[in-house]
Amino acid sequence: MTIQITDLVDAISQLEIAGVRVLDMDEIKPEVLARECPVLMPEPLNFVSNIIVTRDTSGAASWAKKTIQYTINYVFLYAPVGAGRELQKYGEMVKRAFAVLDVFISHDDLTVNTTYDEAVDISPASVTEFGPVPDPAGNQYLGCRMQFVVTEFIN
Amino acid sequence: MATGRTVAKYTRIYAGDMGEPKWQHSLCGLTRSIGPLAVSFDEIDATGMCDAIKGYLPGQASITPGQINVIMDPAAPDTSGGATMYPPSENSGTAAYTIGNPMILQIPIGIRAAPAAGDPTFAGVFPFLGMTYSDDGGLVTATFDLGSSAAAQYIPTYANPWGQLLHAFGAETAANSGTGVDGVAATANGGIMFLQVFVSAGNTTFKVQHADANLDGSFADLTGASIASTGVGGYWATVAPGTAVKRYLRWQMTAVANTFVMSFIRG
Repeated sequence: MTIQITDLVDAISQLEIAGVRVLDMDEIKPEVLARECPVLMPEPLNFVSNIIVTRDTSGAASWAKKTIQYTINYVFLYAPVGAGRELQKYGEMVKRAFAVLDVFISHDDLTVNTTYDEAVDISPASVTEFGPVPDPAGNQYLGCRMQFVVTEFIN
Repeated sequence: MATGRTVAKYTRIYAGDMGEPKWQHSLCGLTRSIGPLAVSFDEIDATGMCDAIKGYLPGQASITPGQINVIMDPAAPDTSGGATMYPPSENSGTAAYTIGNPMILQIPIGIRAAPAAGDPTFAGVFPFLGMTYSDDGGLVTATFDLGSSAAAQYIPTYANPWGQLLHAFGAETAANSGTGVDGVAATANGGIMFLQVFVSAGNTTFKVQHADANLDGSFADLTGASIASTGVGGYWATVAPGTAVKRYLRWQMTAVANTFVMSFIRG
C-alpha cells in the first residue's frame, strides 16, 4: 500500500463546498483572478509538512504495518483586497471559511470519493492568517490559510 | 467487505432492551468507549503428578462486551435508530434501558468505512447490570455495566461472539435478490442469527439464506435461521449444532418496509 497523496488531494478537490472552487494539485493557479474566487487551493509554498512515519509492527519493511501522518496546507482566497466594501467582504470571507471547515469536519474520511479509501482520517489542524493572504503571484486576497492533518495506514 | 486495518470511528453500536420497551438504538454517536469485547475460557488444571509443566483444558466460556461509556444527551424519543440517550427516569435510569433486563448488542466494525455486509461483528445478549452517572470534566456521562451472557435470553450453544454482518443498518422494502457475503469456507456446526429491527411497517419473516455459489438463484433458507418479527425489537435464532452452513450467506425477508441490522455467527 503506497502513500496516496495524489488520490487524497483529488478527493478533496471533489468535495462540494457551496460557492467555493476547490482545486487539485495540478490546478494550482500561478495567478488567481477575481472571477475565480472564492477558491481553496493547495499552497504551493510548503504544501506538505510535518511528515512522520511510525512503525506499528515488527517485520520486513515491505509488509510491516506503519502509519504515516502529515500536514497539508491550503490557502483560501475569498476576494481581492480592495474589492467591494472591505468590511462587508471580510465578514463574508469568515463565514465562507467556516463553511469550508464544516465540510471537512463532516467528511473526515473523504468517503465522498469512493476511489480513495486509505486515509484513516483527515481533520482540520489550524486556520490562520485571517486577512490579506497572497496568491502565488503576490496579489493580495482576503482569505486565510488552512492546515489539515492526514493519517494513512501503510501496509 | 474491505480488508486491512481500521480505526474505532468505523465501529457501530446497536443496542436494544429485550424487555419493554423494545426500542433499538444506534449508540455510536454518543459512545466514548466500549469493551473489552471479550471471550475467555475457564482454565481447568489437568496436570499429572509427574508432568514437568502444568497443562490445562478450556472450561466454559464467558462472553462479555464489558462497559459502554456514553455521553448523556437527552432528546425526544427516537425510534428510528438514531443516537439518542434518554434522561434518567425514576425506576430505570434511562427510559430506553431497564437495569436488570437483557440487552441485545450488535457491534459491527467497518474497515476504513462505515460497516458493510461481510464486516466482522460482535453480537450477543447480555444482562444490563448497572449504570453509573458521573461528571467527567463538566460533561455528564453514563457507564453501562454489562455482564456475561444473559440468563433470561440464554444462548448456551456457542462460545463465539464474533460473526459477519449480513445487513448493515438501513432500510429495505423488498425481498433480497442480490448476492451474499463470503464466509471463505462452508462450516458444519450451525450458528446464531441476530436481528435488530429499528423501524417496521408490520409483521415480517427474516431469514438467513446460504449457498455454495454466490448467485441469487443458488440461495436457499438456512434451517433454523428464521425469525418472525412482530415489529421493532431485538431477536435471535439458533441453527442447531451439526447443521451444515454453506460458504455464502445473505439476509432475506418478506416484502415489508423495515430498517434493520442482521448478523450471523457460525458455530
